[in-house]
Amino acid sequence: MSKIVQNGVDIGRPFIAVQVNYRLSAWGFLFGDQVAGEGATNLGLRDQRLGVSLGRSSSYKKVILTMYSFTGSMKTLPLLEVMQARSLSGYCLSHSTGDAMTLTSTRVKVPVPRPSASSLSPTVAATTPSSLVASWKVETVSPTAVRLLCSFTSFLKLINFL
Amino acid sequence: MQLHILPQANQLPLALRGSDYYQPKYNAIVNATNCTQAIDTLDCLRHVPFSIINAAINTTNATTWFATVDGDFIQRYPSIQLAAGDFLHVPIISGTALSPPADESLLILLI
Repeated sequence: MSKIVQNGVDIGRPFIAVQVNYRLSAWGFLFGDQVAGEGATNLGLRDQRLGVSLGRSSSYKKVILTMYSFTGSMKTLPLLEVMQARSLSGYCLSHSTGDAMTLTSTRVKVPVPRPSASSLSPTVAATTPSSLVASWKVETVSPTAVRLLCSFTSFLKLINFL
Repeated sequence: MQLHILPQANQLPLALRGSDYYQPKYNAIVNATNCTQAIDTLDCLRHVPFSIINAAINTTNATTWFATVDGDFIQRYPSIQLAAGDFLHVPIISGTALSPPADESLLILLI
């Protein structure tokens, strides 16, 4: 993941990456009648859901936005959610549960104003308009796709396409 | 606009199973941790020392656990949900290949 982020910096397209661990094997997916009876099923997927919702929480975004306001002139700042493709398939199927945390809004880059002199004050940065924070969206792709996208953008840069 | 990119997968994940398949595996772990006699086997498992239950998970035939059709997070079998159009309707980039390198080549072409 760190190499992916570094690649984004190297090609002048930095982004924020959030990586969440989740339980695997029987720790995350123990199943049986008793487990189902308690509703403690698919815990690995639920771990990911918790992580994603944390990444989307407004306070978390404010921290990122505050960090961002001190950085350069980039106009948009994508936030990548990286998830195993198999897990993403599970989320595609789970939307019907009516759960609030479904992947319904995933890929929109939000324009972020260039930091002015006044916004370089931590106080000002911390009071970023909530409407701007609320409009943050994220991308959902699998790790392999991120790697590929980075290598692909590197390729485009190599041929002076970007 | 949202987009999902799923190398080596698609909207239909690996065959998801229910308790018919997993209950014997669960029972194997219960037996290996001396929880067979417990009234609430799951609660018993929660109090088994880590080293013991970790060994049970790694030594029984119950080492493969994936997402399940639990009627909650995933309500029905994926094939049924797909046939009913009951899934997230978003554009996807999907690839399937015998080997990851070939898959990556395919994905780049798709982009």
